[in-house]
Amino acid sequence: MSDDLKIPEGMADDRGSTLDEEAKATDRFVDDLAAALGAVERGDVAKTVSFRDGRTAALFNALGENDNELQQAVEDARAAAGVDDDSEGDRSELLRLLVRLGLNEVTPRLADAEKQARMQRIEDDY
Amino acid sequence: MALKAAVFLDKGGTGKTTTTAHLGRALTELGHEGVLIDLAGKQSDLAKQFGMYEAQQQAIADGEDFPNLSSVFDDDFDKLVQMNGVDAILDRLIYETDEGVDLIPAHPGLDSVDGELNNVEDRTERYGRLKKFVETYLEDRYDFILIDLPGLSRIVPYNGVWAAENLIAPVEMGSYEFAQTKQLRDDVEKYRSNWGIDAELSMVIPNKFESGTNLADDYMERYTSEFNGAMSPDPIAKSQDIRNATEAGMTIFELEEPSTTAARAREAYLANARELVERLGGAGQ
Ligand SMILES: Nc1ncnc2c1ncn2[C@@H]1O[C@H](COP(=O)(O)OP(=O)(O)O)[C@@H](O)[C@H]1O
Ligand SMILES: [Mg+2]
Repeated sequence: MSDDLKIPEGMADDRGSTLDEEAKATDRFVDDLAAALGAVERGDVAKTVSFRDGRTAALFNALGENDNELQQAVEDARAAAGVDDDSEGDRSELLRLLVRLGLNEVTPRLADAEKQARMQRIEDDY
Repeated sequence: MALKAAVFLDKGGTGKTTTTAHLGRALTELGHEGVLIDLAGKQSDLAKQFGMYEAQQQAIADGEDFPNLSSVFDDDFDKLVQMNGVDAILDRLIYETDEGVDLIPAHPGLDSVDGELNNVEDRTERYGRLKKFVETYLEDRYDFILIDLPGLSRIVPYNGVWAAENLIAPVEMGSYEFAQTKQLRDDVEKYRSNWGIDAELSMVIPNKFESGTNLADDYMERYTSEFNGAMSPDPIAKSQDIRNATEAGMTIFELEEPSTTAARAREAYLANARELVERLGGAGQ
């Protein structure tokens, strides 16, 4: 119990309030995400993602022509993601894994929210 | 002087958390008392590894999570200690695991620490906060202090580097990991010259090792010739038991009937722990 601690003034503001606000904002985001997952499942929202970037387009175009490079990259991405799979990979899987890894490494907060949203969906199903 | 080390490689999933937990448990097995510090992000993997995740999350939910690891980075932490006494503060900060090693778990508050320290001009103030905490409060109480770092170069993890100075890199047998380990060695040189700290790549531990495969043998040779003095005595085998134990909230030292591979991995962790004491001193030796 922290109630019986004496807390320096400078530290008192750091507790509770800001974290609570953050937590509420996160909860809302998780709710929206869970709803979006539902929309995708029902087919109301497309399952594809596209974005405009010439360099990435060139890279993936060349990977399409060079299967060795592609398979090596898929293998590295699977290893990094801890996926045990020896089957042949494709460009879509590579992109998917890279985005996943990026989410986990760079924005763990988003990855976490997504996990929570999926849990919430599962719970809502019962 | 306690043995201090931080586990780091700029890549997710190579086994940093697993290594921190198992080396900690191995050092405990060898009779040393130590504490693990989880700077690796609020997913709180070390608490999970020791089956304490639920308890810790409950404490957070109940508002009984103060002080926590993020408090250590606060300007007023020393004042907090003065006002309440060291024991009252450390008692709340440090969890005792079932496996004999203590743990300071990660905390969501750590997320904002990076941003706050970003505005601090003075380098020692910016990167040296954890070091000060470790030196003031932990070093006399423990034989060893191991820090789990995220695979990201930011201010909080750099605080871990400053505090530990000795770095342990768990590596897999792949080209990316090999390159990252070389990068780490170069970075360590930069830490030394830019920051004047005594950073060192103290141990490279091949992890998820599949002996007998050409790939493993090949890479082992490359690692050994590149990092010879820093290589660990034993690699850690790839073992499903490690995954299973982790999922069950324990290290493989707790398994009643370990597989042959897991039993060998235990021995390897013990050998590496002994060697770590040998190389770094401390740990009450
Ligand atoms: N030697 C090993 N054999 C099998 N699985 C392992 C081994 N070391 C780690 N793992 C597993 O690999 C995954 C990533 O390990 P972890 O320690 O969490 O990596 P990091 O902390 O570097 O992200 C976890 O599921 C862990 O259980
Ligand atoms: Mg980890």
